[in-house]
Amino acid sequence: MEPVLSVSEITSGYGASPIVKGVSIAAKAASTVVIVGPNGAGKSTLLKAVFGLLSIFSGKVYLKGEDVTGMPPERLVARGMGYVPQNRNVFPSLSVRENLEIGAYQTPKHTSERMERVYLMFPDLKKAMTRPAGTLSGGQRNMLAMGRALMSDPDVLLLDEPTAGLSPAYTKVVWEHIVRIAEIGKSVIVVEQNTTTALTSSDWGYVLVAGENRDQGSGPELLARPDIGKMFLGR
Amino acid sequence: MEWNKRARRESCDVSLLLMGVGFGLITASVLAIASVGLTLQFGVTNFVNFAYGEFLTIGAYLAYFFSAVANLNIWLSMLLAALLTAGISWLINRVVIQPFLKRKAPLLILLVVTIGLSLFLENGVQAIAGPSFQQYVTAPGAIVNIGPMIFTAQQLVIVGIAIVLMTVVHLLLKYTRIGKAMRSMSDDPDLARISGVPIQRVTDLAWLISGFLAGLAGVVLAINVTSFTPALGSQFLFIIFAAVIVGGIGRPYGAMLGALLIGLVTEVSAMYIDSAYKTVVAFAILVIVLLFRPQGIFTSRGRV
Ligand SMILES: Nc1ncnc2c1ncn2[C@@H]1O[C@H](COP(=O)(O)OP(=O)(O)O)[C@@H](O)[C@H]1O
Ligand SMILES: [Mg+2]
Repeated sequence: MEPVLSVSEITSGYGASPIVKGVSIAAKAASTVVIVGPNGAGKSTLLKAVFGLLSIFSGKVYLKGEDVTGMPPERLVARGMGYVPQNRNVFPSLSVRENLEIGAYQTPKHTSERMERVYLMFPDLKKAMTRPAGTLSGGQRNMLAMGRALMSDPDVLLLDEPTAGLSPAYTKVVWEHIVRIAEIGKSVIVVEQNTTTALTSSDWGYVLVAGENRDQGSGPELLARPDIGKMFLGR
Repeated sequence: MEWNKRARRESCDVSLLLMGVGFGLITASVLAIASVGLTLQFGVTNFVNFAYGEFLTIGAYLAYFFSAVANLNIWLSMLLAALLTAGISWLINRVVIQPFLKRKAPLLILLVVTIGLSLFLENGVQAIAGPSFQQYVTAPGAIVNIGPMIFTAQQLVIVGIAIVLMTVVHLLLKYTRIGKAMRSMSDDPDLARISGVPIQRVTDLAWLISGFLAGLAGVVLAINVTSFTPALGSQFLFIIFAAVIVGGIGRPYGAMLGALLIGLVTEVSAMYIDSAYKTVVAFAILVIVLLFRPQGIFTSRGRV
């Protein structure tokens, strides 16, 4: 099967010096891909570059077979890419419902059906529909941020540490949602620190170290590797 | 005897107060239109436009041109002036301000740019229209008494315009897609962009609305003060800032309430103390608010 998103040897960074160097990843429809790696490895930078928030020095990004390298975020959203940043991922003064509506800005046609789908997936959000997002708990915010990104009905969803700061129990809940999002056909690419849960729940994993591809494999395979265990899991 | 005198004095006090409230409502109406225009633009772009006062001046002079030179009705002149000022505001953002933003100029530079723009525009108006006092040729209309409050028909129209505009702004922000997009940008411009909000279009709209409200406010201000010079807007800018900051900068509903508060208090105070102290009173309110609630009195969380 053709990958929905294919990132080919991209180099990118904030100023002139590259942070991500020649990294390649690919993700298929209806699957979860996790990117793990030590703090500062360039995982967030990679997602930002793919989503058009940073300039790409070299390499290519293909979305559904089309070259979208360097395209700005609003156009990528219109073409089927969604992104949830790690921090500040909801509009605090907008209600939960308005946050979701903003997510549908580029694709307004089926807003109400999509909102029902998001509410079905995250019943907590439905209960808090009219509340300002700023009053939600950290976990609920991450749910809302995912819901917001789903409102454009993306083919590819990029999530930057969706479980950061959450309790182990809530982390499990979030991952259940991620798996369900993949089950409805999306390609979900997740950057994670909670490596065990992430690798257990994902179809494929990439290991990023110092801005470069170090390894890749199926989740269980990577988990079983002693060197990876030593690197991230303190085993 | 004594009783009668006291009763008369008290009724006199009350009517003086109510007269002040009447004037206050008119000032608040002018101020609300102007303040919402300034605060909407700030909310979306996150920097203060110090040339905003001159947008009012431009509106007032354009309406003067339409009414006195082209002989149009004052309200039609007002509408045309507001539309033109909207266009000028949009153009100034695109041509003067955005090039600095594209080069990621620091906030201080933007501040200096809008202050420079303010001087340029005020002197521009003066060069074209001259420094002397101007006045619209309009009749204030019939006198309307509401209790002890005395309004001219014209003043009531101004209050009506303000109420209509505030309602429209409310509906826009609360119920339209683009209005919600404006509020999302006001909350977090980066996240708005990530979510697919077309930020250039929303920014354009913010400058258009801001210019429209400024132009319109300039005309009703000029009607209200009867005669004006090219310093009309810059003299009023401080009061606008007071209303905007009291309400919490960047928050349209706050600006409306701030305008009401500043308008009422300054005009009521003018009934009891010299009206030359109006600005001092506005300043006093501002300082008190900044001391106790620097985020503005009418705000809780979020920006708009
Ligand atoms: N906004 C930024 N400007 C400049 N450098 C940054 C910025 N954000 C991150 N970096 C640098 O990029 C490198 C990779 O960061 P990041 O992609 O956030 O790592 P990770 O998400 O894997 O923890 C780090 O060395 C960090 O200092
Ligand atoms: Mg990171």
